[in-house]
Amino acid sequence: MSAGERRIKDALLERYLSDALAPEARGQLESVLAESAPDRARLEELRADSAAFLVQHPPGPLVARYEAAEPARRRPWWLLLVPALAASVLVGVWPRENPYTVKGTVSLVLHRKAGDGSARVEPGATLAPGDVLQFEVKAAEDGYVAVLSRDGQGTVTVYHPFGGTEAARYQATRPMLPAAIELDEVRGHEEVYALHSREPFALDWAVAALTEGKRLDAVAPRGVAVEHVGFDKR
Amino acid sequence: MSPESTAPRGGPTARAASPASDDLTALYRRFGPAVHRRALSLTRDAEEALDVTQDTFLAYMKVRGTPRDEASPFTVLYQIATYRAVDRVRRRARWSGSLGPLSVEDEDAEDRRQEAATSHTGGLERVEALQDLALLTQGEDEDVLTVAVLYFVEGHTTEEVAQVLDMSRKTVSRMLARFAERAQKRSLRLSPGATP
Repeated sequence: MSAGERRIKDALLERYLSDALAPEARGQLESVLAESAPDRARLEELRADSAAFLVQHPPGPLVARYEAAEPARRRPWWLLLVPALAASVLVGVWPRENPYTVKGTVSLVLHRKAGDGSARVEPGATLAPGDVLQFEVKAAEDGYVAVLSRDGQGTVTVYHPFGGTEAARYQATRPMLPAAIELDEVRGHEEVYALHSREPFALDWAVAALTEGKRLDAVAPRGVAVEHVGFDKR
Repeated sequence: MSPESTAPRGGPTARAASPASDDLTALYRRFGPAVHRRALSLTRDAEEALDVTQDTFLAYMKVRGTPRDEASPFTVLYQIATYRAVDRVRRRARWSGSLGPLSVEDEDAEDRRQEAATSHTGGLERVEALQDLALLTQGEDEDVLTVAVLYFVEGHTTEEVAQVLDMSRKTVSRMLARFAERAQKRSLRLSPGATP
């Protein structure tokens, strides 16, 4: 190792600078610092950057944002029912013939990536191998979601969390899931399912049911809402 | 304001800060710059990095008092920031196959690796490797994702990962081995025909 090479990675210097190292680890790091001018120089860079950051981005706006959310946690309990009541009304008036109907507490919309943007996949649309899909899952509350599919050959895939065995955490304020799936070469009809629950849940029952060609809403455990949409791939 | 005034300092419209707000201010001053640098190094976008920084602290305030809070604040904040930044990267990621084999080395190999240049230290290569890992870590917990990024993309040894996250080396190795097993299956799905 040459004299100009650093010996301490930034992540450890960050921990040191934040005074978050245990005494023994701090002592070891300081011994290395004493012998390494490049690492001392980097530490000073980080220290200066920290000072500049706090001048440019003081804590005030963050604290204001935190405090603005604080009163919501102290609202009367009955006010929490208002969004739930609104959602139940929404379920009642949504056209039933719309395949993206909100059933129970979850809805599913597919979006196909087009250039830098995306386009909603309309009912009855035909997609092609290579199309990239994203999933918008809307539920009334935070919890856990999963997206699965059964393709024209009966192959079952867990799209979100990709290849996972358990549902992923979900925030109702972020309905567009981070998953982006490129459709493969298998043609035919494909059904995509969105599952939502307030509590964590495993996916083995869903994978098994789809593999056997069963409807998920018929076998879903209590507390797991199911929605599905289909499309043809040609 | 006269010395006898009982109005809060800062003007008639200022509200007295709550103890939680004071804690948040102190946490931000102590860890904010590091959290921001972490977010920026992963997202490579100034605006996203600031968003991730704020979101990280707000998320941290929610886990205070829960079992998650038993880890040190630096560790929890670092993991949340890494998780949220990688989430941003994942939204724009396309599989490139740049990540390379997801193998966990033994201690001797790591010692030898420390003397040599690590992979993914270059600009574009690192970006692509991070994007690939972002796709492979979808659905993983914050601690697993952070360990994976530090090891497979940023070239830290298991010992260094353990020090950064205040974990035991054994825990890090176990998490990496289990993650690698899951990720290798996912990577086959993402690039059919390619050898992991």
